[in-house]
Amino acid sequence: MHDADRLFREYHAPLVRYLTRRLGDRDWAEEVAQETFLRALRQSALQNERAWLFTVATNLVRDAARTESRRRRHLELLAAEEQGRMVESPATEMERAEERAQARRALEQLAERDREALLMREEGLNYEEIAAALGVAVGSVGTTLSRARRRLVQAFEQTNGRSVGR
Amino acid sequence: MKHLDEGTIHAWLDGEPRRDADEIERHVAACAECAARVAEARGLIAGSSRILSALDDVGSGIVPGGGGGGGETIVVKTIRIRPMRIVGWLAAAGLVVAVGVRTVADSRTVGTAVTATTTTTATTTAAPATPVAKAPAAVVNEPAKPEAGKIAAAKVETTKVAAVAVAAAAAAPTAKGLSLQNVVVTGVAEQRRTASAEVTATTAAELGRVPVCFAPVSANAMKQASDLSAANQPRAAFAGRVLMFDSTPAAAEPAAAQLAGSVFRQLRDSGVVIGAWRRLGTDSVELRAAGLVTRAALMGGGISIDGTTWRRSVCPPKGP
Repeated sequence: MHDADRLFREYHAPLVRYLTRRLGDRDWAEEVAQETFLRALRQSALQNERAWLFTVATNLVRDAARTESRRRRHLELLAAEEQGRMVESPATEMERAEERAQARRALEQLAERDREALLMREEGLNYEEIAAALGVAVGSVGTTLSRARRRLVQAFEQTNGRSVGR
Repeated sequence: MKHLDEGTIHAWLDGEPRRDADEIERHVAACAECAARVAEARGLIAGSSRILSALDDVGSGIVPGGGGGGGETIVVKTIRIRPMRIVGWLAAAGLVVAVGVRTVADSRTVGTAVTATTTTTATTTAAPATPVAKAPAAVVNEPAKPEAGKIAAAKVETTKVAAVAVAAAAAAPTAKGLSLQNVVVTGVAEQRRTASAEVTATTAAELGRVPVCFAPVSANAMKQASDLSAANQPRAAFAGRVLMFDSTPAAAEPAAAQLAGSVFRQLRDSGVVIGAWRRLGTDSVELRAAGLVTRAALMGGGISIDGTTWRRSVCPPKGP
């Protein structure tokens, strides 16, 4: 059996961050991460732990997105009502929220595979791991990432109306 | 060497091992066109990282609690329960491994007040395929600091939750306004004893030298259960789920031991949740899993949530 604690400590944070960026919802991200770790516990051995975890998490996201969008919208509405009762946010938080929304819109303009490759790379997966997770050739990862990065920056600048400062 | 394509440039900048890395470096130094492409690629890499970092400021809907004199108030988040696949989850529960006690003594914190936790949250309503209608406000809240030197038994001050699932009631959200207190009591009462017994036998076998049991989960039964040895782990029912966590340090150890990052398993009626807890002071812990954040008081070998103390329980006798 794996050292579950070590697995959790090493990969939980980056996995949740990857999923949060992917999903835009930390609750959902943590639940998907949770399910991913559960599945990992059932494996007798993992050859490449990081690639395996990110692959499973990515597949879970794809599966969940197909069935959950309507129900999620309902929960978001409930949460939004609840948020309305909370302490009012300062102006800077509103600006950050707007930037977050713009980043989200820019990310959504990427093809799914490009988006996933980019988010995995941000979490430190190497090209071999990304290729394994996405089921693509290692030699194509560089091209995928270059395309994803360019598209993301362009989309953000179009949305934001200003340069990212690259 | 030919001019470099973008994929090669990005792979080189990403530090991917390449046999021609030295050759690429020499070429970039000598070719103005490729040097410009490399510079642009560096900008794209940095720019995309900055853009993506803006997505990290997404909270988990932690609802702030008010401060109270002499006691910590507990922040309970909006609990979103989504139906998780149940197939094989009881089997998965059998793979739950007891977490060894990890204690890091921190003598500096002995006798000091519990550190207040600042929670900064911003929940986005954006879904991958749904346009964002509005950007929700973020909230920054800081629970009131307790009196210095006094760490009273923490009280769980419940707040309304938007969506709550009661144990064994699958995943449909309950009516808004259901307090956590009600959920704890009700959820515990609804735990299926059969499922508990199955998990007990399987879990004990899997855990080996650290038997952990899932006792009958009625609130009264757990309260009356006798303490286990220090090797065993306390459990509690929380939000309708059976919660197990690292055992508290032995009485001889410094009371302010920190257990940051320790892992606990949270057993639902149909599965297992992995989360983390950290000790906040001499007698309180913060529990965080699946978007759920709360605090509980450590009391005499158990934990207290919402005024109910959950003690360690003995393992049920095995059948013939």
